[in-house]
Amino acid sequence: MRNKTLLAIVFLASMIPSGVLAQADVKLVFVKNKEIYVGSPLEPDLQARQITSDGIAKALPAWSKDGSRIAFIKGGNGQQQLGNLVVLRSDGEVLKSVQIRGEEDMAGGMRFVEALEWLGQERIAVSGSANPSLTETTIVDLAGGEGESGIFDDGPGADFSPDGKHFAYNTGSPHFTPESEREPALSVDHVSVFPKRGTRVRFVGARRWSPDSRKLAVIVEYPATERRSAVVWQIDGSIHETALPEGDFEDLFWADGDLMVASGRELLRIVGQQAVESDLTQGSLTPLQQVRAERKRLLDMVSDHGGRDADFWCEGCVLTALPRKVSAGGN
Amino acid sequence: MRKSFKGSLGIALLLALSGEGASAQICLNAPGKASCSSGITMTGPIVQPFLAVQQTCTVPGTWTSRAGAKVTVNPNLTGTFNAPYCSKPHSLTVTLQGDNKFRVRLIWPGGANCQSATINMTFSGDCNTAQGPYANDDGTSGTEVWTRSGTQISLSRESLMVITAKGTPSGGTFSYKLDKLTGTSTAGLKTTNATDNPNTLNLTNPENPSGNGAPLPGGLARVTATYTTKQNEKVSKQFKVPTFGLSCYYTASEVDWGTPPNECESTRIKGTVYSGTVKDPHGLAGTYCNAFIAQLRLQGSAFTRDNRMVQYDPKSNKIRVVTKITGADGSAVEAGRTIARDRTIIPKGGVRVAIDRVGGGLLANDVGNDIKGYRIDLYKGGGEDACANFNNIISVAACTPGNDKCPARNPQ
Repeated sequence: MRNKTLLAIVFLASMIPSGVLAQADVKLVFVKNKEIYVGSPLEPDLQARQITSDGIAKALPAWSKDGSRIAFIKGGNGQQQLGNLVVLRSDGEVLKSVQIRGEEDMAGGMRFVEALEWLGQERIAVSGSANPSLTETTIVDLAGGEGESGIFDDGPGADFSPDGKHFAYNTGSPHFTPESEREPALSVDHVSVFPKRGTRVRFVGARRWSPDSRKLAVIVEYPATERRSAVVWQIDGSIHETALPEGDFEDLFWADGDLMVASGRELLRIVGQQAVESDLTQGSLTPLQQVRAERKRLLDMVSDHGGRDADFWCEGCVLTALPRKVSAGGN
Repeated sequence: MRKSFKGSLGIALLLALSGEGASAQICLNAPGKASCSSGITMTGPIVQPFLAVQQTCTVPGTWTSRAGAKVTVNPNLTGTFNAPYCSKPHSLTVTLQGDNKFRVRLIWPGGANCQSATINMTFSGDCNTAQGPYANDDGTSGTEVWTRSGTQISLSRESLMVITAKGTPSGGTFSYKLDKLTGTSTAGLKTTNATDNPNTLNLTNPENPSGNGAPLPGGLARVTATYTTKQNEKVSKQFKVPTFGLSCYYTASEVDWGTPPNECESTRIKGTVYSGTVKDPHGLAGTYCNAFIAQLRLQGSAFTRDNRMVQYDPKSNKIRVVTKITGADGSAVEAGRTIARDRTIIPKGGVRVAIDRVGGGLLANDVGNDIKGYRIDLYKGGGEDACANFNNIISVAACTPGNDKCPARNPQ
């Protein structure tokens, strides 16, 4: 096993001692019986404290990046009304309430809100599907600045860089368009970046921003050969593509500055233009799988207490390895 | 199945239907024997013609045939046919043929005095008898009747949400158990008096737990119905019930975007604001609101004001008039019938789905990235109003044909 890969795995694995988060400052927020609760996932009974009490249905509470505020959706009927985006302090004081969209502006856009993501201290991305294949994201600026609507992804929604300044989405595959007429393409900040026009690819799995927000990675497959590549877009506009060996490589993550590509039990590290195989102990999970497993465990814990739509905040802990987009299906 | 006597031994029974109240005889033609001769005469009540009943009966259990054979059918629809006039039991396999019919293939293991046969059975109204023609492999034929025996429970499903359980012998009690197999928003049960026989079990739909009305997935549950006799003999039957979380989608419509030239709406898509009008956009003759054309290019298809279907081709960057819009499975979409679903739950092949509070005969011929697991998106046609007042409910459903993840309505 190469030293850097070992370092990456040890780095991430060290944040999940025995499957239980041991950090002192881990916060939990969830919805129960229409109200917002905060607590601690480290306590057996969650030490849950109710912080709202108006009886109006709420959904998708999400901690701000510094853990001081909570945003959530209030109201909404799943049809013409998306509801309001509300921001609270963790003691329940309402800081802001913004109508996401008027009923007159609904046509063609998201039908209901399915996910929330803080992009910075004052901007929140609100997303939901417009049809079975298309998701719209609207950026709400809490400071009253100009937000942005109409960021459409031919998939589960745009992916935002950790600094909140950039976003990526796929185009070229409208719903009901025959497969032969589709031209899937990756766009960053509304500029199509990959592939070149006329080249057919299929995007596989999720897009992943690097922690420094300077790179975006995605796996593509060429239908003609069924071979896959890891494609990396860099902030200077350059594209780097690395062919992958045969295998169902679908997962990506960044570890210690390196791009890691995972396929079930196989883990590769991208070094320059090459994908270098890393050893993985038989039967062990990749760090990404460990994070997902830990998050699921915490979500199940909240569900056992009658809660739903849970979000967790911790300072630099393993749960931040995945984008903190709070969605109805679990982050 | 029946004895086939070689040489001078022949057995023949004659079945004669001579009117209600008269006795009937079964004729078993031996090979080479064209008519009935001395031998076994079966008498009994005239077999009443089968009355078609809208219900679904189950085959597994123990039966007694008219000629006294003990029949055992296992839950996997194999079993044995043990006739007193055969030296060995037949093995059997059952093939279901619709809600109230099944075919039985009896395989004779070899040797003298019996043979293989095929029986085509139809259930009676109460599911406790079945009858139909049989054909021996030697070409002789007749009519067979089976009657259920032993402690048994039969389930029939009159509608998607109501199941009737019958237990024999009478005097026992019914109990039910529901296990969640996957998902949390699964069906519930509402039972009636446990000693009623027949007994009614009502399925209930879960509430959508979403706090903002967004659709959430359903799941799959298994129901176990148990009949316990006064002697404490128990027999159970199980069946699975899927629930799906619903939402509604529509294709763009020109009428939602105003009227050119002066009453066009505007829209913002991927950083660009589209307003005003555009003439002959992307090969589509005419003048249109720019916002409508932008939506058409985004969503891929739309209806014009005069009800033409138009489709955008990203490859050629052209818009063309089409006669139909096709779902991901390759067949035309139907407003109010087409559903987008996860193919790992409802596969390709023209599966029809019945969903409580929505309707039956829905056609699973579309998919979507967003539609995973026990989720369904119902296509309702063109324009925003198509989905007005649609509630994102979670409802019990059944598939035709069924599979392990989306079973058929028949609780078999």
